[in-house]
Amino acid sequence: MNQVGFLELMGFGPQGWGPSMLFGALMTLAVAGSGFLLGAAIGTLGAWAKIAGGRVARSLADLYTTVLRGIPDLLVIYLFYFGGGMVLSSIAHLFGEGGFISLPGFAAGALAIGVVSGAHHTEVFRGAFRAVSRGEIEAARAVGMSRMLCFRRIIAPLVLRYALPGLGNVWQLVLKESALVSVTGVVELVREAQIGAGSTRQPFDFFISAAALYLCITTLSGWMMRRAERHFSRGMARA
Amino acid sequence: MLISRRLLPAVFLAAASTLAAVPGDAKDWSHVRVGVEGAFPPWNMIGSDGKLAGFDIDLSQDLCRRAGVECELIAGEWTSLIPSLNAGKFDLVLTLGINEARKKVVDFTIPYASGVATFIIAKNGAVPAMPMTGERINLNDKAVADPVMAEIGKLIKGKTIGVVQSTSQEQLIRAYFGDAVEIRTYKSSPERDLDIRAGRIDAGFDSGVYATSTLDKPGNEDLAMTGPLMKGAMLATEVALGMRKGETELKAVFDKAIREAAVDGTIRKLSVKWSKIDLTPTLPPAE
Repeated sequence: MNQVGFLELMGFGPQGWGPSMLFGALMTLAVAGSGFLLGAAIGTLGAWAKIAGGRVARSLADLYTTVLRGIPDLLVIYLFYFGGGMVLSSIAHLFGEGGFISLPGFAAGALAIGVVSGAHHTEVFRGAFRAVSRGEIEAARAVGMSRMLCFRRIIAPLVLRYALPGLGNVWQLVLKESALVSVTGVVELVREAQIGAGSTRQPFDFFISAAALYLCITTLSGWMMRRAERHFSRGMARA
Repeated sequence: MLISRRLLPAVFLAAASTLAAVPGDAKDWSHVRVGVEGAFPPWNMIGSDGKLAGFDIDLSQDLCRRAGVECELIAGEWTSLIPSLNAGKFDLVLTLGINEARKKVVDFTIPYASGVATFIIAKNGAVPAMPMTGERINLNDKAVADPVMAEIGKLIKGKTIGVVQSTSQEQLIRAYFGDAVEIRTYKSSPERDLDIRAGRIDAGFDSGVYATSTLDKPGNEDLAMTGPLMKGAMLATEVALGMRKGETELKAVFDKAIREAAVDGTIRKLSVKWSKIDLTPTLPPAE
Protein backbone atom coordinates (compact mmCIF):
# COMPACT_ATOMS: atom_id res chain seq x y z
CA MET A 1 0.00 0.00 0.00
CA ASN A 2 1.85 3.02 -1.23
CA GLN A 3 0.91 6.60 -0.68
CA VAL A 4 -0.82 7.69 -3.90
CA GLY A 5 -1.43 11.20 -5.19
CA PHE A 6 -4.75 12.97 -4.70
CA LEU A 7 -5.86 12.75 -8.33
CA GLU A 8 -5.03 9.06 -8.56
CA LEU A 9 -6.72 8.38 -5.21
CA MET A 10 -9.93 10.18 -6.16
CA GLY A 11 -9.82 9.14 -9.81
CA PHE A 12 -11.50 6.31 -11.66
CA GLY A 13 -8.47 4.03 -12.16
CA PRO A 14 -7.95 0.68 -10.42
CA GLN A 15 -6.70 2.42 -7.22
CA GLY A 16 -9.25 5.20 -7.48
CA TRP A 17 -12.09 5.83 -5.05
CA GLY A 18 -13.98 8.03 -7.53
CA PRO A 19 -16.81 5.56 -8.26
CA SER A 20 -17.28 4.74 -4.57
CA MET A 21 -17.41 8.41 -3.58
CA LEU A 22 -19.89 9.23 -6.37
CA PHE A 23 -22.04 6.29 -5.33
CA GLY A 24 -21.90 7.61 -1.76
CA ALA A 25 -23.09 11.00 -3.03
CA LEU A 26 -25.98 9.30 -4.85
CA MET A 27 -26.89 7.44 -1.66
CA THR A 28 -26.86 10.76 0.21
CA LEU A 29 -29.25 12.19 -2.40
CA ALA A 30 -31.48 9.11 -2.16
CA VAL A 31 -31.70 9.20 1.65
CA ALA A 32 -32.18 12.99 1.75
CA GLY A 33 -34.65 12.94 -1.15
CA SER A 34 -36.92 10.25 0.26
CA GLY A 35 -36.72 11.84 3.71
CA PHE A 36 -37.63 15.24 2.23
CA LEU A 37 -40.63 13.85 0.28
CA LEU A 38 -41.90 11.92 3.29
CA GLY A 39 -41.45 15.09 5.36
CA ALA A 40 -43.44 17.11 2.79
CA ALA A 41 -46.33 14.63 3.02
CA ILE A 42 -46.25 14.73 6.83
CA GLY A 43 -45.89 18.51 6.72
CA THR A 44 -48.99 18.91 4.54
CA LEU A 45 -51.01 16.84 7.01
CA GLY A 46 -49.52 18.71 9.96
CA ALA A 47 -50.23 22.13 8.46
CA TRP A 48 -53.79 21.09 7.64
CA ALA A 49 -54.25 19.90 11.24
CA LYS A 50 -52.90 23.18 12.62
CA ILE A 51 -55.01 25.37 10.32
CA ALA A 52 -58.29 23.54 9.89
CA GLY A 53 -58.20 20.73 12.46
CA GLY A 54 -60.29 20.43 15.58
CA ARG A 55 -58.87 20.91 19.05
CA VAL A 56 -57.47 17.35 19.25
CA ALA A 57 -55.80 17.44 15.82
CA ARG A 58 -54.37 20.87 16.56
CA SER A 59 -52.82 19.92 19.88
CA LEU A 60 -51.43 16.67 18.41
CA ALA A 61 -49.77 18.66 15.62
CA ASP A 62 -48.45 21.17 18.16
CA LEU A 63 -47.01 18.36 20.27
CA TYR A 64 -45.40 16.82 17.17
CA THR A 65 -43.68 19.99 15.97
CA THR A 66 -42.56 20.98 19.47
CA VAL A 67 -41.05 17.58 20.29
CA LEU A 68 -39.46 16.80 16.93
CA ARG A 69 -37.94 20.25 16.47
CA GLY A 70 -36.70 20.18 20.05
CA ILE A 71 -34.68 16.95 20.16
CA PRO A 72 -31.43 16.16 18.33
CA ASP A 73 -31.91 14.41 14.97
CA LEU A 74 -29.26 11.84 15.82
CA LEU A 75 -31.44 10.74 18.73
CA VAL A 76 -34.44 10.23 16.43
CA ILE A 77 -32.32 8.11 14.08
CA TYR A 78 -31.10 6.00 17.02
CA LEU A 79 -34.70 5.58 18.19
CA PHE A 80 -35.84 4.30 14.80
CA TYR A 81 -32.80 2.16 14.09
CA PHE A 82 -32.11 0.53 17.45
CA GLY A 83 -35.44 1.09 19.17
CA GLY A 84 -37.45 0.13 16.10
CA GLY A 85 -35.62 -3.17 15.86
CA MET A 86 -36.25 -4.01 19.51
CA VAL A 87 -39.93 -3.10 19.28
CA LEU A 88 -40.53 -5.08 16.08
CA SER A 89 -38.68 -8.09 17.51
CA SER A 90 -40.72 -8.22 20.68
CA ILE A 91 -43.95 -7.92 18.69
CA ALA A 92 -42.89 -10.71 16.37
CA HIS A 93 -42.13 -12.71 19.49
CA LEU A 94 -45.73 -12.21 20.63
CA PHE A 95 -46.88 -13.90 17.45
CA GLY A 96 -44.53 -16.82 18.02
CA GLU A 97 -41.81 -15.65 15.68
CA GLY A 98 -38.36 -15.98 17.33
CA GLY A 99 -35.21 -14.04 16.58
CA PHE A 100 -34.71 -10.44 15.59
CA ILE A 101 -36.55 -8.35 13.06
CA SER A 102 -35.51 -4.85 12.23
CA LEU A 103 -35.90 -1.98 9.86
CA PRO A 104 -33.11 -1.89 7.27
CA GLY A 105 -30.69 1.01 7.79
CA PHE A 106 -31.91 2.93 4.75
CA ALA A 107 -35.59 2.71 5.78
CA ALA A 108 -34.85 3.65 9.39
CA GLY A 109 -32.71 6.59 8.25
CA ALA A 110 -35.15 7.93 5.65
CA LEU A 111 -38.05 7.48 8.06
CA ALA A 112 -36.24 9.34 10.84
CA ILE A 113 -35.26 12.19 8.53
CA GLY A 114 -38.79 12.33 7.15
CA VAL A 115 -40.34 12.54 10.60
CA VAL A 116 -37.92 15.27 11.71
CA SER A 117 -38.17 17.34 8.53
CA GLY A 118 -41.96 16.88 8.61
CA ALA A 119 -42.00 19.12 11.66
CA HIS A 120 -40.11 21.84 9.80
CA HIS A 121 -42.31 21.36 6.73
CA THR A 122 -45.42 21.79 8.89
CA GLU A 123 -44.28 25.20 10.08
CA VAL A 124 -43.21 26.31 6.59
CA PHE A 125 -46.55 25.31 5.03
CA ARG A 126 -48.57 26.85 7.87
CA GLY A 127 -46.72 30.14 7.58
CA ALA A 128 -47.13 30.14 3.78
CA PHE A 129 -50.87 29.48 4.01
CA ARG A 130 -51.27 32.36 6.44
CA ALA A 131 -49.57 34.60 3.87
CA VAL A 132 -52.18 33.82 1.20
CA SER A 133 -54.62 36.71 1.09
CA ARG A 134 -58.16 35.83 2.36
CA GLY A 135 -59.64 37.66 -0.60
CA GLU A 136 -58.24 35.22 -3.14
CA ILE A 137 -59.92 32.29 -1.41
CA GLU A 138 -63.17 34.18 -0.96
CA ALA A 139 -63.13 35.10 -4.63
CA ALA A 140 -62.64 31.46 -5.59
CA ARG A 141 -65.59 30.39 -3.41
CA ALA A 142 -67.67 33.26 -4.86
CA VAL A 143 -67.23 32.03 -8.45
CA GLY A 144 -68.47 28.64 -7.29
CA MET A 145 -65.28 26.58 -7.08
CA SER A 146 -65.61 23.43 -4.98
CA ARG A 147 -63.23 23.05 -2.04
CA MET A 148 -60.98 20.62 -3.98
CA LEU A 149 -60.88 22.82 -7.07
CA CYS A 150 -60.10 25.86 -4.94
CA PHE A 151 -57.26 23.96 -3.23
CA ARG A 152 -55.84 22.76 -6.55
CA ARG A 153 -56.11 26.00 -8.54
CA ILE A 154 -55.75 28.71 -5.92
CA ILE A 155 -54.38 27.56 -2.56
CA ALA A 156 -51.70 25.06 -3.63
CA PRO A 157 -49.91 27.30 -6.18
CA LEU A 158 -50.06 30.33 -3.87
CA VAL A 159 -48.87 28.38 -0.82
CA LEU A 160 -46.04 26.93 -2.88
CA ARG A 161 -44.98 30.44 -3.92
CA TYR A 162 -44.66 31.57 -0.33
CA ALA A 163 -43.27 28.25 0.93
CA LEU A 164 -40.45 27.80 -1.59
CA PRO A 165 -37.76 29.88 0.16
CA GLY A 166 -38.55 28.05 3.42
CA LEU A 167 -38.54 24.69 1.63
CA GLY A 168 -35.10 25.49 0.24
CA ASN A 169 -33.85 25.91 3.79
CA VAL A 170 -35.48 22.67 4.91
CA TRP A 171 -33.86 20.84 1.98
CA GLN A 172 -30.38 22.03 2.97
CA LEU A 173 -31.12 21.00 6.54
CA VAL A 174 -32.22 17.54 5.40
CA LEU A 175 -29.17 17.14 3.17
CA LYS A 176 -26.80 17.75 6.07
CA GLU A 177 -28.91 15.63 8.40
CA SER A 178 -28.49 12.72 6.02
CA ALA A 179 -24.84 12.52 7.10
CA LEU A 180 -26.08 11.27 10.48
CA VAL A 181 -27.65 8.24 8.80
CA SER A 182 -24.14 6.79 8.52
CA VAL A 183 -24.63 5.38 12.05
CA THR A 184 -27.12 2.90 10.62
CA GLY A 185 -24.46 1.45 8.33
CA VAL A 186 -25.88 3.07 5.17
CA VAL A 187 -22.84 3.88 3.06
CA GLU A 188 -23.59 7.48 2.16
CA LEU A 189 -21.02 10.18 1.49
CA VAL A 190 -19.75 10.69 5.05
CA ARG A 191 -19.48 6.98 5.84
CA GLU A 192 -17.74 6.35 2.51
CA ALA A 193 -15.24 9.09 3.34
CA GLN A 194 -14.64 7.58 6.79
CA ILE A 195 -14.05 4.15 5.26
CA GLY A 196 -11.63 5.56 2.71
CA ALA A 197 -9.83 7.70 5.29
CA GLY A 198 -9.42 4.73 7.65
CA SER A 199 -8.45 2.20 5.02
CA THR A 200 -5.86 4.33 3.24
CA ARG A 201 -4.78 6.49 6.22
CA GLN A 202 -5.18 9.58 3.99
CA PRO A 203 -8.07 11.31 5.79
CA PHE A 204 -7.57 14.81 4.36
CA ASP A 205 -8.05 13.73 0.73
CA PHE A 206 -11.31 11.97 1.54
CA PHE A 207 -12.90 14.59 3.76
CA ILE A 208 -12.06 17.45 1.40
CA SER A 209 -13.57 15.47 -1.51
CA ALA A 210 -16.71 14.77 0.51
CA ALA A 211 -17.00 18.48 1.34
CA ALA A 212 -16.62 19.35 -2.36
CA LEU A 213 -19.34 16.87 -3.33
CA TYR A 214 -21.71 18.30 -0.69
CA LEU A 215 -21.03 21.77 -2.05
CA CYS A 216 -21.82 20.58 -5.59
CA ILE A 217 -25.13 19.16 -4.44
CA THR A 218 -26.15 22.24 -2.46
CA THR A 219 -25.07 24.65 -5.20
CA LEU A 220 -27.00 22.71 -7.82
CA SER A 221 -30.11 22.39 -5.70
CA GLY A 222 -29.89 26.08 -4.72
CA TRP A 223 -29.91 26.99 -8.42
CA MET A 224 -32.91 24.72 -9.03
CA MET A 225 -34.75 26.26 -6.08
CA ARG A 226 -34.19 29.78 -7.46
CA ARG A 227 -35.57 28.70 -10.86
CA ALA A 228 -38.61 27.19 -9.17
CA GLU A 229 -39.14 30.37 -7.14
CA ARG A 230 -39.04 32.44 -10.33
CA HIS A 231 -41.51 30.08 -11.99
CA PHE A 232 -44.05 30.25 -9.20
CA SER A 233 -43.68 34.04 -8.79
CA ARG A 234 -44.48 34.90 -12.42
CA GLY A 235 -46.38 38.17 -12.48
CA MET A 236 -45.10 39.21 -9.07
CA ALA A 237 -42.65 42.05 -8.55
CA ARG A 238 -39.63 40.74 -6.65
CA ALA A 239 -39.17 42.72 -3.48
CA MET B 1 -38.49 -8.48 6.99
CA LEU B 2 -40.16 -5.15 6.81
CA ILE B 3 -43.46 -4.05 8.28
CA SER B 4 -45.40 -1.55 6.22
CA ARG B 5 -45.33 2.08 7.32
CA ARG B 6 -49.11 2.06 7.66
CA LEU B 7 -48.80 -0.48 10.46
CA LEU B 8 -45.99 1.24 12.32
CA PRO B 9 -47.99 3.43 14.72
CA ALA B 10 -50.08 0.46 15.86
CA VAL B 11 -46.93 -1.57 16.17
CA PHE B 12 -45.28 1.04 18.38
CA LEU B 13 -48.27 1.27 20.70
CA ALA B 14 -48.62 -2.46 21.08
CA ALA B 15 -44.93 -2.79 21.75
CA ALA B 16 -44.86 -0.46 24.71
CA SER B 17 -46.26 -3.20 26.92
CA THR B 18 -44.06 -5.99 25.62
CA LEU B 19 -40.62 -4.41 25.59
CA ALA B 20 -39.45 -6.77 28.31
CA ALA B 21 -40.06 -9.86 26.20
CA VAL B 22 -36.72 -11.09 24.91
CA PRO B 23 -36.44 -14.14 22.71
CA GLY B 24 -34.52 -16.84 24.54
CA ASP B 25 -35.13 -20.12 22.76
CA ALA B 26 -32.58 -22.24 20.94
CA LYS B 27 -31.56 -20.67 17.66
CA ASP B 28 -30.58 -21.85 14.26
CA TRP B 29 -26.94 -20.82 13.78
CA SER B 30 -26.53 -21.86 10.16
CA HIS B 31 -26.40 -18.19 9.17
CA VAL B 32 -24.37 -15.79 11.32
CA ARG B 33 -24.10 -12.03 10.76
CA VAL B 34 -20.71 -10.61 11.72
CA GLY B 35 -20.17 -6.90 12.30
CA VAL B 36 -16.81 -5.33 11.44
CA GLU B 37 -15.57 -1.74 11.24
CA GLY B 38 -13.86 -1.94 7.86
CA ALA B 39 -11.52 1.00 8.52
CA PHE B 40 -8.85 -0.36 10.87
CA PRO B 41 -5.92 -1.65 8.82
CA PRO B 42 -4.32 -4.15 8.85
CA TRP B 43 -7.06 -5.87 10.89
CA ASN B 44 -9.87 -4.89 8.55
CA MET B 45 -10.29 -2.34 5.80
CA ILE B 46 -12.31 -1.66 2.68
CA GLY B 47 -10.57 -1.23 -0.65
CA SER B 48 -11.46 1.23 -3.41
CA ASP B 49 -13.40 -1.67 -4.98
CA GLY B 50 -15.69 -1.66 -1.91
CA LYS B 51 -14.54 -5.12 -0.77
CA LEU B 52 -13.52 -5.97 2.79
CA ALA B 53 -9.97 -7.19 3.30
CA GLY B 54 -7.54 -7.74 6.15
CA PHE B 55 -6.49 -10.22 8.82
CA ASP B 56 -9.96 -10.29 10.43
CA ILE B 57 -11.64 -11.02 7.10
CA ASP B 58 -9.34 -13.90 6.15
CA LEU B 59 -9.45 -15.41 9.62
CA SER B 60 -13.21 -15.11 10.06
CA GLN B 61 -13.74 -16.92 6.76
CA ASP B 62 -11.55 -19.71 8.03
CA LEU B 63 -13.31 -19.82 11.42
CA CYS B 64 -16.77 -19.90 9.86
CA ARG B 65 -15.76 -22.76 7.59
CA ARG B 66 -14.48 -24.71 10.59
CA ALA B 67 -17.62 -23.91 12.55
CA GLY B 68 -19.77 -25.06 9.62
CA VAL B 69 -21.75 -21.81 9.52
CA GLU B 70 -22.42 -19.41 6.72
CA CYS B 71 -21.11 -15.99 7.77
CA GLU B 72 -22.27 -12.67 6.40
CA LEU B 73 -19.80 -9.85 7.07
CA ILE B 74 -21.45 -6.46 7.57
CA ALA B 75 -19.40 -3.26 7.81
CA GLY B 76 -20.63 -0.64 10.29
CA GLU B 77 -19.37 2.39 12.16
CA TRP B 78 -17.13 1.40 15.07
CA THR B 79 -19.11 3.19 17.78
CA SER B 80 -22.39 1.59 16.66
CA LEU B 81 -21.07 -1.99 16.51
CA ILE B 82 -21.81 -3.04 20.11
CA PRO B 83 -25.25 -1.33 20.20
CA SER B 84 -26.06 -3.01 16.86
CA LEU B 85 -24.98 -6.36 18.29
CA ASN B 86 -27.26 -5.95 21.27
CA ALA B 87 -30.13 -4.73 19.07
CA GLY B 88 -29.83 -7.96 17.08
CA LYS B 89 -28.43 -6.51 13.86
CA PHE B 90 -25.35 -8.75 14.15
CA ASP B 91 -24.61 -11.95 16.03
CA LEU B 92 -20.85 -11.43 16.35
CA VAL B 93 -18.51 -8.44 16.34
CA LEU B 94 -14.88 -8.66 15.18
CA THR B 95 -11.72 -7.05 16.63
CA LEU B 96 -13.00 -6.47 20.17
CA GLY B 97 -10.15 -6.02 22.66
CA ILE B 98 -11.07 -7.84 25.85
CA ASN B 99 -11.46 -5.49 28.81
CA GLU B 100 -13.54 -5.25 31.97
CA ALA B 101 -15.90 -2.51 30.77
CA ARG B 102 -16.90 -4.47 27.68
CA LYS B 103 -17.30 -7.71 29.67
CA LYS B 104 -20.29 -6.02 31.32
CA VAL B 105 -22.22 -5.61 28.05
CA VAL B 106 -21.05 -8.48 25.82
CA ASP B 107 -19.61 -12.00 26.07
CA PHE B 108 -16.29 -12.84 24.44
CA THR B 109 -14.94 -15.89 22.66
CA ILE B 110 -11.45 -17.01 23.63
CA PRO B 111 -8.96 -14.56 22.03
CA TYR B 112 -8.29 -15.16 18.33
CA ALA B 113 -5.30 -12.87 18.29
CA SER B 114 -2.87 -11.77 20.91
CA GLY B 115 -1.21 -8.48 20.18
CA VAL B 116 2.00 -7.13 21.66
CA ALA B 117 3.42 -3.78 22.65
CA THR B 118 6.86 -2.50 21.75
CA PHE B 119 9.06 0.61 21.55
CA ILE B 120 9.37 2.91 18.54
CA ILE B 121 12.52 5.08 18.23
CA ALA B 122 14.15 7.39 15.72
CA LYS B 123 16.98 5.51 13.98
CA ASN B 124 19.61 8.12 14.89
CA GLY B 125 17.97 9.28 18.13
CA ALA B 126 19.06 9.42 21.75
CA VAL B 127 17.76 5.96 22.70
CA PRO B 128 19.97 3.08 21.51
CA ALA B 129 18.60 -0.23 20.16
CA MET B 130 17.25 -2.40 22.97
CA PRO B 131 17.82 -6.10 23.69
CA MET B 132 15.50 -8.86 22.35
CA THR B 133 14.21 -6.79 19.42
CA GLY B 134 11.36 -8.64 17.70
CA GLU B 135 11.30 -11.45 20.25
CA ARG B 136 8.21 -12.17 22.31
CA ILE B 137 8.25 -11.80 26.07
CA ASN B 138 5.51 -12.45 28.61
CA LEU B 139 5.78 -9.97 31.47
CA ASN B 140 3.94 -12.40 33.78
CA ASP B 141 6.94 -14.71 33.45
CA LYS B 142 8.91 -12.57 35.88
CA ALA B 143 12.07 -14.72 35.98
CA VAL B 144 12.67 -14.05 32.28
CA ALA B 145 11.05 -10.65 31.86
CA ASP B 146 12.21 -8.65 34.88
CA PRO B 147 15.97 -8.66 34.07
CA VAL B 148 15.19 -7.57 30.48
CA MET B 149 12.91 -4.78 31.69
CA ALA B 150 15.60 -3.66 34.15
CA GLU B 151 18.11 -3.44 31.32
CA ILE B 152 15.67 -1.43 29.18
CA GLY B 153 15.09 0.83 32.20
CA LYS B 154 18.83 1.68 32.23
CA LEU B 155 18.80 2.50 28.49
CA ILE B 156 15.89 4.92 28.74
CA LYS B 157 16.70 6.49 32.11
CA GLY B 158 16.10 10.24 32.02
CA LYS B 159 14.58 10.11 28.52
CA THR B 160 11.09 11.18 27.44
CA ILE B 161 8.64 8.47 26.34
CA GLY B 162 5.45 9.19 24.37
CA VAL B 163 2.30 7.07 24.73
CA VAL B 164 -1.34 7.41 23.70
CA GLN B 165 -3.48 8.67 26.56
CA SER B 166 -5.51 6.18 28.67
CA THR B 167 -4.16 3.09 26.97
CA SER B 168 -2.79 0.04 28.73
CA GLN B 169 0.56 0.93 27.16
CA GLU B 170 0.59 4.15 29.19
CA GLN B 171 -0.22 2.16 32.35
CA LEU B 172 2.68 -0.18 31.65
CA ILE B 173 5.26 2.57 31.15
CA ARG B 174 4.08 4.27 34.35
CA ALA B 175 4.25 1.03 36.33
CA TYR B 176 7.67 -0.14 35.10
CA PHE B 177 9.56 3.06 34.31
CA GLY B 178 7.48 5.83 35.92
CA ASP B 179 10.30 6.93 38.27
CA ALA B 180 13.09 6.79 35.68
CA VAL B 181 11.59 8.53 32.63
CA GLU B 182 9.46 11.49 31.72
CA ILE B 183 6.12 10.44 30.19
CA ARG B 184 4.29 12.51 27.61
CA THR B 185 0.76 11.53 26.54
CA TYR B 186 -0.83 12.06 23.11
CA LYS B 187 -4.33 11.85 21.61
CA SER B 188 -3.23 9.52 18.82
CA SER B 189 -0.23 7.49 17.71
CA PRO B 190 0.58 9.47 14.54
CA GLU B 191 0.82 12.71 16.59
CA ARG B 192 3.29 11.01 18.89
CA ASP B 193 5.33 9.77 15.92
CA LEU B 194 5.62 13.34 14.60
CA ASP B 195 7.22 14.33 17.89
CA ILE B 196 9.66 11.40 17.79
CA ARG B 197 10.76 12.48 14.34
CA ALA B 198 11.04 16.10 15.47
CA GLY B 199 13.24 15.00 18.40
CA ARG B 200 10.83 16.41 21.03
CA ILE B 201 10.61 12.98 22.64
CA ASP B 202 13.07 10.10 22.60
CA ALA B 203 10.84 7.05 22.13
CA GLY B 204 7.25 5.88 21.84
CA PHE B 205 5.55 2.79 23.19
CA ASP B 206 2.65 1.34 21.18
CA SER B 207 0.98 -1.80 19.86
CA GLY B 208 3.21 -3.98 17.70
CA VAL B 209 0.65 -4.17 14.90
CA TYR B 210 0.44 -0.37 14.80
CA ALA B 211 4.24 -0.19 14.71
CA THR B 212 4.71 -2.65 11.83
CA SER B 213 1.90 -1.24 9.70
CA THR B 214 3.13 2.32 10.24
CA LEU B 215 6.83 1.69 9.67
CA ASP B 216 5.80 0.08 6.40
CA LYS B 217 4.42 3.37 5.06
CA PRO B 218 6.54 5.76 3.02
CA GLY B 219 7.75 8.71 5.05
CA ASN B 220 8.51 6.62 8.13
CA GLU B 221 11.92 5.30 7.03
CA ASP B 222 13.65 7.14 9.87
CA LEU B 223 11.68 5.28 12.57
CA ALA B 224 12.40 1.79 13.91
CA MET B 225 10.92 -0.76 16.28
CA THR B 226 13.13 -1.86 19.12
CA GLY B 227 13.02 -4.08 22.19
CA PRO B 228 10.93 -7.18 22.88
CA LEU B 229 7.31 -7.68 21.78
CA MET B 230 5.64 -7.57 25.19
CA LYS B 231 2.39 -8.97 26.51
CA GLY B 232 1.04 -9.78 29.94
CA ALA B 233 0.99 -7.62 33.09
CA MET B 234 -1.52 -4.79 32.54
CA LEU B 235 -1.29 -4.79 28.74
CA ALA B 236 -4.71 -5.31 27.10
CA THR B 237 -3.59 -7.17 24.01
CA GLU B 238 -6.10 -10.00 23.66
CA VAL B 239 -8.53 -9.58 20.74
CA ALA B 240 -11.70 -11.68 20.48
CA LEU B 241 -15.11 -11.94 18.87
CA GLY B 242 -17.92 -10.38 20.90
CA MET B 243 -21.47 -11.72 21.12
CA ARG B 244 -24.69 -10.95 23.01
CA LYS B 245 -24.62 -12.08 26.62
CA GLY B 246 -25.80 -15.65 27.14
CA GLU B 247 -25.21 -16.96 23.60
CA THR B 248 -23.34 -20.01 24.98
CA GLU B 249 -23.99 -22.21 21.93
CA LEU B 250 -22.43 -19.69 19.54
CA LYS B 251 -19.49 -19.17 21.90
CA ALA B 252 -18.83 -22.92 22.11
CA VAL B 253 -18.81 -23.29 18.31
CA PHE B 254 -16.41 -20.39 17.73
CA ASP B 255 -14.16 -21.17 20.72
CA LYS B 256 -13.59 -24.59 19.19
CA ALA B 257 -12.87 -23.13 15.74
CA ILE B 258 -10.39 -20.58 17.16
CA ARG B 259 -8.63 -23.32 19.13
CA GLU B 260 -8.20 -25.42 15.97
CA ALA B 261 -6.99 -22.45 13.90
CA ALA B 262 -4.45 -21.56 16.60
CA VAL B 263 -3.14 -25.13 16.88
CA ASP B 264 -2.74 -25.85 13.16
CA GLY B 265 -0.91 -22.60 12.43
CA THR B 266 -3.63 -20.80 10.46
CA ILE B 267 -3.64 -17.78 12.81
CA ARG B 268 0.16 -17.55 12.62
CA LYS B 269 0.14 -17.72 8.82
CA LEU B 270 -2.61 -15.11 8.37
CA SER B 271 -1.30 -12.69 11.00
CA VAL B 272 2.22 -12.75 9.59
CA LYS B 273 0.74 -12.11 6.14
CA TRP B 274 -1.13 -8.98 7.30
CA SER B 275 0.88 -7.56 10.21
CA LYS B 276 4.31 -9.22 9.94
CA ILE B 277 3.89 -10.35 13.57
CA ASP B 278 2.75 -13.76 14.81
CA LEU B 279 -0.43 -12.96 16.76
CA THR B 280 -1.31 -16.56 17.74
CA PRO B 281 -3.01 -16.30 21.15
CA THR B 282 -2.00 -18.27 24.20
CA LEU B 283 -5.00 -20.53 24.63
CA PRO B 284 -6.75 -20.82 27.97
CA PRO B 285 -7.07 -24.45 29.12
CA ALA B 286 -10.08 -26.24 27.58
CA GLU B 287 -13.11 -26.49 29.83
